[in-house]
Amino acid sequence: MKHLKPLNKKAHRLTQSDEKQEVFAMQTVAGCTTSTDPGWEVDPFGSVASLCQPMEADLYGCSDPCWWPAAVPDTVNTYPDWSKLENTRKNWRKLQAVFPED
Amino acid sequence: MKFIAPILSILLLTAGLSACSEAPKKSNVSEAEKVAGRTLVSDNCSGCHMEAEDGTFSRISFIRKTPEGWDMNIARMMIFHGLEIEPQDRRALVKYLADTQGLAPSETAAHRDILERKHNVIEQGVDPDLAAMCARCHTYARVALQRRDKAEWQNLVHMHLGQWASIEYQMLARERDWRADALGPVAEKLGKLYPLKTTQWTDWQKAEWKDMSGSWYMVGHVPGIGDMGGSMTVKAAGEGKYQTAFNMIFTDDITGAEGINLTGMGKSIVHTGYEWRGTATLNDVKYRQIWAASPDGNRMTGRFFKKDHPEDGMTITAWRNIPENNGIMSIVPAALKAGKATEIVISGLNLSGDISIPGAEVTVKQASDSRIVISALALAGATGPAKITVGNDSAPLAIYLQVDYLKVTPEYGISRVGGGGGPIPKVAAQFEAVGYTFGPDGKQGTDDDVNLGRLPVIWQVDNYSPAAAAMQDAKYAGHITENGTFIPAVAGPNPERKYGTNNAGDLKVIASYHNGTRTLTAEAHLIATVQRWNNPPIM
Repeated sequence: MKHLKPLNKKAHRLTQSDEKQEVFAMQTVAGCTTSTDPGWEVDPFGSVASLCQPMEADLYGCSDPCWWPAAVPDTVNTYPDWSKLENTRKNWRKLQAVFPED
Repeated sequence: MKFIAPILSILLLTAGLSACSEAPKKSNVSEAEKVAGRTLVSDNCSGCHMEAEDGTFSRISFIRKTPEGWDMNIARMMIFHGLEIEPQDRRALVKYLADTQGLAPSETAAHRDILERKHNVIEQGVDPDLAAMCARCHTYARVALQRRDKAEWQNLVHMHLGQWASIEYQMLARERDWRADALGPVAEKLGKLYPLKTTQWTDWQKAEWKDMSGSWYMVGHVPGIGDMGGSMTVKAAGEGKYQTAFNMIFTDDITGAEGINLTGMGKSIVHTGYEWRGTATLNDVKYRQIWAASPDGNRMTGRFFKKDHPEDGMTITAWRNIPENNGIMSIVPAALKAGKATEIVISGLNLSGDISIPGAEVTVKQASDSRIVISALALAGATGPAKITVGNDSAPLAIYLQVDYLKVTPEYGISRVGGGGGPIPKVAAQFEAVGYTFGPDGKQGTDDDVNLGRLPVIWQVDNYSPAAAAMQDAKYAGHITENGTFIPAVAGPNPERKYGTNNAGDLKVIASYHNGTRTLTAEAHLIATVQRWNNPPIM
């Protein structure tokens, strides 16, 4: 990290975080998607402080390449018509659940 | 005499023929059901899944799954590949596949919590390599509730690679050769751990799958509310389907006071000879049952939960009303404070005989063969683990002088924002504070500590960490009720918050119990997080 310079607040926070801290990923509640950058429900430190804030701002961009497939619709498989929402941050209410209930 | 030998031969032959003509054991799945099921597979799946000369269909015939697993398969075919299927055909396909390519009871036993949609489950004892490969996006149970050989597990890896473009580039995947790991050691290990052919499945197919109709008695616990005792009447409706009627009485597990009465009707189906799935409308609210029957068909366990809020439900034990099922099923409350008269509800089946608690005076207030209400007054000298006896059966009960410490369960809970004009409902988190005594050794946290059940506490939430305090999570993420239910705030960006962030929060849940002159407290961790849009039956 010594050759990298943090440019924003989140990057500063990451450089200040306790690097000895174990990644929390496998101790979270069943079904939580933790593997990505950050996780969907829980961040790698077992909190929500490093999730996308607000998540709606990143929802479309990150879902497009199936970033959280177990939790969030994606434009490849489950929600090909996502672009009709136009602005996800504004129109997130129109995003529907994707599992077809019997 | 010369005619005797031929006559004897004829008699013996007849006897032999008679033995041979004894009807073979009836198959659990009839030939007609098999033909109808195969026709459904052929009609709906064979456009892509080729039928081989031996009658197998590619992929489909080489996998075994739970009913929910098969249903998720069909759902994926609908979403990803445009399968159009009538709801009744989807249900019939699930039934056929779960009956002919299902999992034996012993093969699902370790992962029932996930199947039953229990909330706040942290999966334990998972192989770290398999957890790292599979359980960071979905539960490990989703994998462990399938059976395939190595080549078929490799096909599943290829499906993941083809369907989710970024899978190899995600954190904790990209710094290793993900594809080689998944197709190599992981598929190898899964093929050995969860192979297609097992003696458990072969034996379960040969076992007699029982008819579930009859009269049942149920007990269950609803966190934060109390305990339930009640009846379920089951009538066969053919093809593994049943009609059900329910009558439940709730008891406050702190005071012993009688609570609400829940009644209604429902429909159920049994898959794979033991996987009981039901829907019911109780007091105008829709519920679902995900239960498993014991191999002898006389007992069931599982969850009964609200259809639209699977996190809100109760864990159930049900016994068929037959003479062999007799005894105590639950005691509410299961702790008696010395010197204080306490009402206790004993639930069970075919209860009869004298009722006693050594070291306590017992007065019977109501008694039937399934529900007995007593008032008990324990003497100060009787403290410690005790038992309550009804006829020949007994169950453990604790007699105590004072609560020594508290625990909040679950220790780590999760809630989700919802509503706010969007289609995804809020997911609440339910906490309970349970009291303990130190036990004979006088030390906290040892095996002899005695669980005293739920206690009346005052609930509050606070920020879990300095980062949460800086974001004022406790102010925005939601509130906790006097029953310990955390109700999350609404979904969507909140312009009042820094970055306009969501009403997510990293919180601690604090319970305070006023015990005479002192106050006991305990804490749990709560992640109040964002919503999910993908909610399949196996998370």
